[in-house]
Amino acid sequence: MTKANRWLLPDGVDEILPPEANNLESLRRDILDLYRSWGYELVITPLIEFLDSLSIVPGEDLQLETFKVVDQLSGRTMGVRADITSQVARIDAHVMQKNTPNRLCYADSVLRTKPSTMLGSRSPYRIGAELYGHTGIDSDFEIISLMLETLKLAEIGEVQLALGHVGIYRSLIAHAELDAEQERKLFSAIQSKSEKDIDNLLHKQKTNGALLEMLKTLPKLCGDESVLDTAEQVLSKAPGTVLDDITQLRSLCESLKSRYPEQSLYFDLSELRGYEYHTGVVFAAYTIGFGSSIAKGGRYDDIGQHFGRARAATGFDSDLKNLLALSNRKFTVAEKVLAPANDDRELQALIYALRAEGKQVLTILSEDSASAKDLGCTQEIVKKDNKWVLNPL
Amino acid sequence: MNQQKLVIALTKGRILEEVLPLLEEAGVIPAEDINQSRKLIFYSNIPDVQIMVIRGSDVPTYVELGSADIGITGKDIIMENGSKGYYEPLDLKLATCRLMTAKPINQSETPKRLRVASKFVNIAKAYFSQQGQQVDIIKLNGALELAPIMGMADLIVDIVDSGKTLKANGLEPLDLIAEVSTRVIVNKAAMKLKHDQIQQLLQRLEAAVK
Repeated sequence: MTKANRWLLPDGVDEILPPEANNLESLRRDILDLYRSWGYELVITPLIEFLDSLSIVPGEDLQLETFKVVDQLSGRTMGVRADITSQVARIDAHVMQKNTPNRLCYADSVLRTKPSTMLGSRSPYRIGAELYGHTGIDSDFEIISLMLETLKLAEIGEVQLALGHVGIYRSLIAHAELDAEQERKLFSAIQSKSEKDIDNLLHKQKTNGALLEMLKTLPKLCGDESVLDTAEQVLSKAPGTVLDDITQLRSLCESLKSRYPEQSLYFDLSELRGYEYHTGVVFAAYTIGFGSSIAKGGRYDDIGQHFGRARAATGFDSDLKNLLALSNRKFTVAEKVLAPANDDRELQALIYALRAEGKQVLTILSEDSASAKDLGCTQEIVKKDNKWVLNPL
Repeated sequence: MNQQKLVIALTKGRILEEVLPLLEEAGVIPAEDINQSRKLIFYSNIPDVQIMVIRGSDVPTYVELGSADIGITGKDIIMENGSKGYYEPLDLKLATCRLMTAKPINQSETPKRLRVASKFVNIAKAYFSQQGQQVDIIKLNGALELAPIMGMADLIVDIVDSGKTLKANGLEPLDLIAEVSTRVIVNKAAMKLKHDQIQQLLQRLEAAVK
């Protein structure tokens, strides 16, 4: 690296400077306080751990996203966390084993080998909450509510809440008798709602016509809550848990409407984000001006199995840096006061009192030529009539 | 959600000429003649709808990042881009052609490691690995037919329309990779945030296609 570009940061890696760093910290504290007020306990997970414990999600994506190093002590491969959910799941399944629901939250940096979009970060700051040990719709409702409260606290403005249920697709595909390759192609076609690609894939299938019709309709089942009515009709003969899943979404919809009457709701029954690990209701929040979701989550009941103890689980997370960028919040910065360099007791007492009040007090350094203005101070301490007083600048 | 601004990204060139009449039938008419202007973004007869005209390969980028809500571009470009940031709900059945491999006529197949020239590096890589064939890929931006003539590549992966260009350069089409046509893509967040506006437009476009 030449001298000229030693300052260069890697792609997708950023640093946060004042005043944003300060704003991010206030937002982080407020959000964690919110989680605590809901009974969620903070955990601080290790930055690095053995790759085996991080790779609990089947599929290659998370594996590829994890930075890896070899542990000099054990010879095993370690990974820098690319996601905190899996670590919290390990904590619930192993070190914090409880037979009652476990409410945990976290806020920390993660690293990703690849950004999710061209402008995506490789060092996101994840903040989120997870609820373990409860299967019913109540826990989904609690987690979604907490996500909405987070966005409200961050003053994101109007958000759209999108809900789905991976159980619907799971049940349909389990009965569709497709081979693995067809299934893989169909999955990606449904995810991109490509009617043409779905047709191309399914038109050769001779058996199971009714079921394939249902799979074809799935990508179109999106929109406001009336989608649930349509879904009940077109999927009325669907196998497995499909109708129960729709009922779950409906009761979630009713609960959300009564607690958050202003909240706009969107349903997409073919939403398959995180299909590898999600097992039930999935949800995400969107806002105008941001091309992907700002917070997302869902149910992932079987993950703890990886650590020997499957537990019902649901949770969400968000990128604090994105929340800050989208926040309409007016962050206030404490006033800066310049104090003379003087060991006078009364002066020191005043400085102490001002700092305790929350003001920032800077002391002049010897041979420092910076003026109060240069230092960003709005007030300075001066001696008037033998007393130390604040003098506005 | 309330009525929002809707931005449609169109591919300039041949696709544009075929897409504009379709959009007009769907009720979206640019406020001025796109072909006569050097501007890149246009208002339309619908107050909330704006149209931008860009290179086809830039359309997925604008849509993925949410700067445009809807994009119209070729399936080849969508496949090459490979992003999961947008839906691809509608086939406009325009500018249809085929994405194929092609080789020099009379070139006998040899089991050596093939060199493949293409604009579509990602598609070519995925295709040959699916075929269980290890290849080296040379990225070129045009006039692919030259690569085998000059002995730089054994095969090319390219769009084939009538096949005349291939033939004129002593090449022949080999295997079909995909049927290509013009598709509508929609940013995934926009689909949720502006669902009614987008659905209406999609339905009108679908009707216009038929």
